Amino acid sequence: MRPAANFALWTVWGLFVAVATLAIGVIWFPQLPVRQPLAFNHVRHQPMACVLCHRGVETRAFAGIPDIATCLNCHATPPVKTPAEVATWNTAVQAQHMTWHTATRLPDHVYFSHRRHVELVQLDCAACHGNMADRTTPPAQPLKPISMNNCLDCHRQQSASTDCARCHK
Amino acid sequence: MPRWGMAIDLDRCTGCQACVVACKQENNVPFSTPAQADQGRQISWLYLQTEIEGAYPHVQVRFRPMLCQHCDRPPCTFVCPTSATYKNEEGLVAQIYPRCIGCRYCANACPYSVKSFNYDEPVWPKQLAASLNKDVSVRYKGVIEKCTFCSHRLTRAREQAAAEGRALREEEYQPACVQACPANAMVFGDLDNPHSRVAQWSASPRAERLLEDLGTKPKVTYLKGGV
Amino acid sequence: MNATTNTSGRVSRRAFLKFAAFTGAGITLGRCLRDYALQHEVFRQRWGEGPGLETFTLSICRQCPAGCGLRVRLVDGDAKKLDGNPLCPLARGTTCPKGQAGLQALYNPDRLLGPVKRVGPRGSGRWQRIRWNDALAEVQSKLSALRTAGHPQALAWIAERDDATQGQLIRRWMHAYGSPHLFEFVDTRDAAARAAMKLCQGVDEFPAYDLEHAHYILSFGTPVLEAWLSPTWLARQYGRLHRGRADYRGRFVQIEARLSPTAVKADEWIPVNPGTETALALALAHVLIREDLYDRALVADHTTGFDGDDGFRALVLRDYAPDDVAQRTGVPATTILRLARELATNKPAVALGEQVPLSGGVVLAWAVHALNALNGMVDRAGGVLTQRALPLKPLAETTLPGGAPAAPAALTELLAGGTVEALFVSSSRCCAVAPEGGKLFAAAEKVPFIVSFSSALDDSAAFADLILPDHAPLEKWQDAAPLPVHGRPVWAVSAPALEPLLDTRHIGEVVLELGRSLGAFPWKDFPAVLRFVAAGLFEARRGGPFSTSYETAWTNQLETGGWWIPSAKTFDEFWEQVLKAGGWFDPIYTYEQWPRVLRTASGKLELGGPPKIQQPWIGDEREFPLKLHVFTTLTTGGLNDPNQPFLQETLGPHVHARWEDWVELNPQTAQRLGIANGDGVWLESPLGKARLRAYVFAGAQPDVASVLIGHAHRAGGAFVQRTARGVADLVAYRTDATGAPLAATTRVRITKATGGP
Repeated sequence: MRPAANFALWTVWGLFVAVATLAIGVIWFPQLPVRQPLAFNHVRHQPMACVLCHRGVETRAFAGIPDIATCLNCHATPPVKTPAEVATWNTAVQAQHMTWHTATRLPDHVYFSHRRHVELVQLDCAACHGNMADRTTPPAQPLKPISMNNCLDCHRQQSASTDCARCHK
Repeated sequence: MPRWGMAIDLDRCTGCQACVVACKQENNVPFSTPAQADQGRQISWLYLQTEIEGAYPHVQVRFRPMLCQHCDRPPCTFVCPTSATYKNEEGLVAQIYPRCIGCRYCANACPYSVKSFNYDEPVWPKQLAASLNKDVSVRYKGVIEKCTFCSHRLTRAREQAAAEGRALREEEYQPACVQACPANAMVFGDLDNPHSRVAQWSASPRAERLLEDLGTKPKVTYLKGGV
Repeated sequence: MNATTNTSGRVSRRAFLKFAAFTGAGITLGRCLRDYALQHEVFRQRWGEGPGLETFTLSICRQCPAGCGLRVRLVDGDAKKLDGNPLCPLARGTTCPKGQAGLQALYNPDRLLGPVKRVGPRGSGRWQRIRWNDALAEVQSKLSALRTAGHPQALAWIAERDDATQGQLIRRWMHAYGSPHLFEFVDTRDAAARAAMKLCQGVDEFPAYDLEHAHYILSFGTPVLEAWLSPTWLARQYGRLHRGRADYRGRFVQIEARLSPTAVKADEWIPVNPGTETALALALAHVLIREDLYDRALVADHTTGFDGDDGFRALVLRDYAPDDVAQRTGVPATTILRLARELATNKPAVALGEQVPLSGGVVLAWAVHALNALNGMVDRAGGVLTQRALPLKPLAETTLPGGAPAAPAALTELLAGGTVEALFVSSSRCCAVAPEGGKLFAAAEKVPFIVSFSSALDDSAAFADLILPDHAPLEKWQDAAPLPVHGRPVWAVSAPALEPLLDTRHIGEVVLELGRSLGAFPWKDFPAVLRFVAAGLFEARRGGPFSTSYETAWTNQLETGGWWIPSAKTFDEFWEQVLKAGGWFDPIYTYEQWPRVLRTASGKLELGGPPKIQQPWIGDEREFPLKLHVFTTLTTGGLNDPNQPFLQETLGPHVHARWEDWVELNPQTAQRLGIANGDGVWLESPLGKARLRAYVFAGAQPDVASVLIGHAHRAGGAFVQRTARGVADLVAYRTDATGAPLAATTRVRITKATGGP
């Protein structure tokens, strides 16, 4: 009797723990880490304005991640040290394209315009993106989680529209 | 605050369905399969409704482009348990897909039968997916969808106007169907602006609103044809 | 007490490890699940991950031969939406449903990835990708062999009638190669109307219609609001007829065997027995003459053959009294009288007699043209006009053999003769609407070498040996010279809206390549040819680039006064303006230029010598009790490939038809046959049978079966799998002098099919 009861008890416990942790995993932890091709150092680029590289932030919905061409405007030689990174840099220069990954993602059903927020209401980039300027390496996760609650908090504070259809497409 | 509305002159309308196809293309409306169509599960935000009366040779057929009437008292929003469908302050009846739980109360409540349910996961062949409009969600199985008066165009137009530091001009915001109509049978604009064409058409002696006696106060006006 | 827990609450190592393992597994699984769910629902990004750069560019719609100007919305280089070019005088910023669906042709999943060669036996559907160079070499060697053997005329080419550069290039190439067998088809116009223009006015071209100024339109089965002329332009004219004038609402009467979508939108529908429209038109002429309502001055000054014992007047007064005609046509005599009076008293009023896809016959076109002449509506505002020439610089000195009306029967005969050794096919429309199409396919089987330029495995490609897929229209340099619409010359031109998606090649470039060895093709590439022909417009010293309707009206005013202001000093500047606007247009039409429009030997409009009345119906009345009436819809007529889901979903709104072909039956007829709405039926003629769906429709005439043709194909992509096969094969091929297949020819019977719809 003992082993059977034991087993049942453990199974129940085990399942409970599994479901609970599953829930924690789903709710708590953000997306899978994003790995960038190069360890971009935002601090080193400090005095420059974000918009210098993230072009389109003032004119378009999508801010845009700079392509290698933007880097080449200033960097004649590889700005990296390790042989692996130099190889990545050279390949990108050859292909005229560097694949950076977006860490801050918006769901498909959301319309968000950088122009509206950055250009028209002069919102600071850090308000949504956190203090990216102080990063020496690219973060694997967004520094501030993007959630509808955060959007709405700000919209309420600023008396901006909270009409669902303004942002949900 | 504008009150957006539409007027359709059935005396100009040729029943060509350019509006129908324009709507599908603009709003990523999934196409059905023949089997789905047989089950009545074709999704259309805008379709050509046909009424047939009489017998040969005294037959009267009427075509009517049918779309969400964006009622001022929409029956669908009252029954939505999650507020996925609601009327906003400019009078647009919106449908928010992530909120929709697919109960289909709204589709049943709608007296105009203009809400479609995604019974199946929409299929977009890889090649055709390139023509999907980024400004509009691609829907998924289990949600209701319907005409939004192309409100994404309003969002964009308003932003453009703000960027240029001026007020929104009414003609900047036109739904895809109105833009496509080759017979110039559809007009769209602010019903509260007495100078707008839509307000003038809506005040025409030929104007009729569908099922008005239900008290829905539709914002789509039809101008009777044949007179 | 067990081994793993104890009363003191201490956790054993084993328990801790288990707990930790479960936790770790749960969290990892949770994250994966979350990420999976998000990837598949919320972050799918099915529209691509580009920066969302929006651009607009111009192109030309090729969903039907009309060639309306398009404005293409692109995001990150992907085409997202098509709308009309606001400056195009045909489109004016709008399109018809076919135009709206154009992206489904461009991004069609069934497009060929590149040139292919047949590997299995014909029709087996086994293909192999080959390289362009190899494909062209194979074509080139075949052509050289034929030419060195001394019979270049063993080459035939089936094309779409195209007066723009690509069509001209094909004509020039065929001429240079030495074959007269170029067959040019167009299924949105009635060849009989062109024949009637030749007969009456000596002008070998389709008529144009000044509908913009008409107050009254009387159509003898012309699908005015379906696949005819330019649907976009016609829809605008319809809107204008009814509500475009503050003080006057025009009237539109449709005479047709079935209550078509056009008839639905007409102010009055007059059902007529199929094939008797001619008698009705002549009965109207009878009333005009008898009641002295006709335009005496025009008839006296500009027509011949009216008077005399065997003249037009004597003929219609003798044979076409309304009482006699009422019997034959099924239209009451009072209605005939009323229509004639309405026509004469609501000027400008125009009668239309073009029927598509199958012709009403030259006799109908002639009768309607005569009716317009009698009513004084030839070359007058709101009437029938004669197209003004488009001053493109010609590519070849001879116009041979292009422009001659092509008949499917002549093509079938030629192919069946066995003298053709190579066949090029650049349009599959002739196969779709040719009656007894099976004969054409059987004849084509005999040709040893068939090359298709189709972009998908459609009718023309299915029986080819080699397929050299053309670009989609949005991907190519192109121009369009619409067939006569309103009489004013229009030329649309555009650069590619986007890069070719697949390994395809412009037909024009292929022709240039094949032509290099013939030595008669000095141009570097297709755009160079476009610039060459456009020079003719620059030198014409009239018209100008597409402009707004206000500016167009101004140009018209100026030209009426004999003025013309050049828009550009140099050709390069002119070319840039034309490309930017999407085309060139000369808005002026001067009415009553009799020497230009009446080019008969007599210099007058010839009313005498009526063509012969058509043959009787094929099929025994007892065995085949129903008359077959054929039609196309707006969304299928003129369309190169119907494999477009948005168009398949909107086929026949009046009977809720979609995805498949159908036959319309009158409720009484259907009841007699035991057929319910939506049943599957067999449609049988003396020539064979086909299975389709039946719709019981109050607008169908008793004892007439109305069938969609031009839609059902033998081959086709994923979205046309439900269409019936070979409906056109059931239609008997009967023709008159023009060779155009006639509409009202065949009797059929309908039986209920068993086993599902």
